[in-house]
Amino acid sequence: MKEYICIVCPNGCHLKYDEINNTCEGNKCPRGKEYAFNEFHHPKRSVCSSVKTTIEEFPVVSVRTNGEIDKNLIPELLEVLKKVIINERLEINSVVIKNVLNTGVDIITTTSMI
Amino acid sequence: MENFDIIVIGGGPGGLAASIKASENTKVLLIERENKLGGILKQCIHDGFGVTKFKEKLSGPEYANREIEKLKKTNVTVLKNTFVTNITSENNEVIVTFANENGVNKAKGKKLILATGCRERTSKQISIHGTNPTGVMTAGQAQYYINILGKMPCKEVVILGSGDIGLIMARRLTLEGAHVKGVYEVKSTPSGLSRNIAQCLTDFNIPLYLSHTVTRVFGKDRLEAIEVAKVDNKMNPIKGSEEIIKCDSLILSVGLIPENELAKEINVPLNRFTKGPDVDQTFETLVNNVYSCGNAMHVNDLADYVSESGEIAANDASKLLNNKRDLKPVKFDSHFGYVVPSFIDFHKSTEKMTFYFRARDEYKDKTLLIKQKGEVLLKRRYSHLRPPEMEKILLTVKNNDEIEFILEDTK
Repeated sequence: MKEYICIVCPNGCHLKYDEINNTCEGNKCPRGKEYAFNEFHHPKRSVCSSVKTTIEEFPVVSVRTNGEIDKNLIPELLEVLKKVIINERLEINSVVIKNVLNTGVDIITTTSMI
Repeated sequence: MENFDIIVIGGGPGGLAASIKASENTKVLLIERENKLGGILKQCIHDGFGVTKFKEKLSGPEYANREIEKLKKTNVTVLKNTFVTNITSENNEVIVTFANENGVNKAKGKKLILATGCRERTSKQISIHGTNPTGVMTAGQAQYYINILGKMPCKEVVILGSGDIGLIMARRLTLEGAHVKGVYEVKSTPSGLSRNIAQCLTDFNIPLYLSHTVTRVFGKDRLEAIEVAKVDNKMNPIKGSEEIIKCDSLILSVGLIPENELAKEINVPLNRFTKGPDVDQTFETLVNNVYSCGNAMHVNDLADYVSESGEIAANDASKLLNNKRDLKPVKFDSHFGYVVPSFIDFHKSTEKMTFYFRARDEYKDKTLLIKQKGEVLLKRRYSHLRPPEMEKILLTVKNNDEIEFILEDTK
């Protein structure tokens, strides 16, 4: 039995996950059970950060993963993001890195630079 | 002087939603102090916004962008880089004086919506003793430095207060390479959402010290160390429990206060529990034709609720009515931190009114009862209630008698 706090939505349900029978208690919706399952077997997170630009108005621009990546890849992802420099004004949700670290997930901008 | 039906002050999520809604059938002016719309969302680059409103997990800037794109399709007049200096209210009209690159000008409106957001409490407001070195900053300031300016303001960090922005910044600073030595909270329970404790502290092994506070800061030019101490159940530091922690920065996440300096100018009565204006079910303040919404009205924990309150205010304001009001206070017992709205206007619709409330303490297994003259109008069970987690209910009232919110143990 494992206890988690669900981070899928602001409800923050207190989950009790039984890994042997794959059952979950305390979740108000099915996403809670899915979260508990993933958290036990292969925890995943979406990551939000920022990358540098050469545009004066935007010393940095905010970015995020457009899906979840393995939690243990976060430090490596941050090293990748440190090296990115954007040289043009991008629309919001432009892809900055496609399939980052072979995760199938892209890094997209989250601020409009137009 | 140009005439408008509705003047909205503040271009964050509350003001954006209010402007968009009001523009459906009225002439609207939106005034924003900064050079970009979006308010605090611009620097809240973490995700989790919009789960209710857009059914998607967005970052703050993306949430703002969706609203800004909607606003562009309306005929709302938007004044950016514009600072409101004065408001007067008389004869069912509001006159707003503002300054911008075109000088000082005035606009006249039939209704005013105040969407001025909130401010962070600072070190001055929590009376920390010691010197005044660089390195003591609010969580929002640190967020602005990192997320907008791209500058790291610290390396060895202690965070005082477990409010949501403090927790979000603990994670953000860690991701950017700073060492967050701990989050200290004077209360015996965390101030932020449970999910933020999980994903911002637990995920990164950042310790949370409850019933602790910072009692002193040291350092001449730059912060060099702080003194922390355990507190007793009256939040007084316990002698002998002091500990010195070396750090170059102290980040404060010690609460937000609704910003109502403009509201005070037109004598809008403020509520002692929310620190925002007293409002009715359409979020009209006790000054006729003046509405409040979002964090100016009460500090919300989700931008989605801020947008919602802007829409509710705008929906009523854009009817452009001038009915006499029949206001009765909403009562609540001592288990509540507050209930919004604090009044019901029985000359307005009392169908499906939106109420927000916070518990005063952490409770398990409570039942909410809303009563009118002894009759139960609504009953709802809660397995957990926590002050940081705001609850919302919809309520329909048929008679024009006072209503009362009660929390009792679930039987």
